Amino acid sequence: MRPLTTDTYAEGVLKTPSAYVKFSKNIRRINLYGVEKKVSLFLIGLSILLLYNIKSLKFWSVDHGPVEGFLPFFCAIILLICGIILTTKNNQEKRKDQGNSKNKPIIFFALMFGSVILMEYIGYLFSFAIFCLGTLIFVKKYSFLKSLQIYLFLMVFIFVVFILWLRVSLPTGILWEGIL
Amino acid sequence: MTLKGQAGVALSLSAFSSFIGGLIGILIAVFSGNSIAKYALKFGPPEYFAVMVLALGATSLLAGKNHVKGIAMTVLGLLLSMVGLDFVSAQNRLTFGSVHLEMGIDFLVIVMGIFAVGEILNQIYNETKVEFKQEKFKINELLPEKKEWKRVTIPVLRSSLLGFLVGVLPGAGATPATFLTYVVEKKLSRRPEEFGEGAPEGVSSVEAANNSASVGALIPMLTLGIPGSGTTAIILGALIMWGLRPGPLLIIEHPQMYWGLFAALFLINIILLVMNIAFIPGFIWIVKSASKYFYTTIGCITIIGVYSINNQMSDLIIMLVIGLAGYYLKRASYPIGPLVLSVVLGPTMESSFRQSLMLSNGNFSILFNRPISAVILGATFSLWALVIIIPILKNIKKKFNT
Repeated sequence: MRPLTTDTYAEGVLKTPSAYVKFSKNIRRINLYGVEKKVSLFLIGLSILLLYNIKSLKFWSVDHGPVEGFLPFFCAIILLICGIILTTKNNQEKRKDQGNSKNKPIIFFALMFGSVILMEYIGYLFSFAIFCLGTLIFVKKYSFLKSLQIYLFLMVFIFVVFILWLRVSLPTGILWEGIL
Repeated sequence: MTLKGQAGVALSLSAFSSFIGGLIGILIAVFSGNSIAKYALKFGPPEYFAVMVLALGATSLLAGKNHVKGIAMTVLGLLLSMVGLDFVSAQNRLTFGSVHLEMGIDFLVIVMGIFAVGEILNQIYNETKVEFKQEKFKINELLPEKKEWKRVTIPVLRSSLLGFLVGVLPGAGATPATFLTYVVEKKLSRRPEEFGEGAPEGVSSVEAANNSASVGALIPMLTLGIPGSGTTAIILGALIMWGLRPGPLLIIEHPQMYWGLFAALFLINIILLVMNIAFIPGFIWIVKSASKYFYTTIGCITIIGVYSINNQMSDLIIMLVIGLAGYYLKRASYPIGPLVLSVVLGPTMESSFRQSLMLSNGNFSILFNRPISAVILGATFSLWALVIIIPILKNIKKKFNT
């Protein structure tokens, strides 16, 4: 059987009430796992977490009026209300996601995160090697040799501009310092 | 115009119109800035708070179709700006016991996270590619003829003025200015049917308004310290990082910076005109050949840039977390402008709010008793009421009709 989507509905395939009920359930199921739903649920979770953190703060002082907890409390409450509205509203909407490559951004992010975590231990040269070679090979699909060329060119550029000219001090790596 | 074979003329018309729009915007800003600053000296904490509420309220409503998302982003930005030690009681707020968060989250970390990391992830997800239908451009093909100049002169002048006025409004910025001028020019044109079919005034008016509005948005930022758009919010952040405090006293305390900025804008306009016309083929070559390595290069430069702020790894972790959040927010169509604006305005808004209530011993009527703040807050509430009531009325009308 052909899967029920908004396209089938738009084409006029769904004409009977039972088919429409199935279609509605399908829409609800799609949206439940949609990114909009996830983000609005994240906002609800975040606001609850913030409210928990704010509860120990003072709200009002007789001499000074509102104190440190006043505005954060109201902002967290508004965020919670917005999150609830968006979560319930998303059940009625379905927006087509335009993107094609779902895994590539996650690979890019993981490589960037990994290189940042390792930077302090192995130094910027090696952590950037992981990041540059990883992104060029796995995200942009270049060969190892081509990626290595780009990495070396980029390192020369970074060394000349940031290290020599702008005098930025980047971590050289605790691991190497210990060995040397 | 490209379909008519006038891609070059369209490019040069947009370049010349941008230049004229920018120039008119600079002239108005130079002659009006001083008087606005003098008027702004009358502002106290309640007035500042009211203007900030207007700026944030207008931005959250005008940023996108879904107002709830706009409000959520504004509030999220305010919460991000509140992380760290409270400026009065020195109490830890929203730090979850982390020492790294005690000094707050640096504005640059947030901006780099959202606009660098978030944007790269978003572009990788959408597989953004730069494509040019026309392979080569020659300079002599770019210049418009006399009849085209005649058609665009008045619309450009009119749109520059209108664009500037829209740009000055808090929260409006360049995008609403371009839409507004396009509609106005279409209404006033003798050939409205040509709009969308290659009318030169359609391109020119929008480009002039766009540049003029960008200069206009600088006025509330420089004279009141209130940025009207995401771009001016970033400029405000940069000025604060340099130890400058934009506001009515900026023109008195740092005249070299204030007038220097407009002189620089004037020079930038000229340079941009030359670059837009002369270097188009060169730019196309760079974008075509080097865009493949942009993500990796920008990723490395972002890491170096954020690390160099405080030489702390925690800044990089926070940037990555904010970047990932920014990526998902963009995918879910949340407007980012209100978030950046409220991160910048948050501390000043909170301090002026608390100062106002300290002055009145906790009495909220101080915000409505003073004429300027009462008018501004009234305008904000009217805007909100208008935006909320109109859709409700439309819904009722729809239900009544069906």
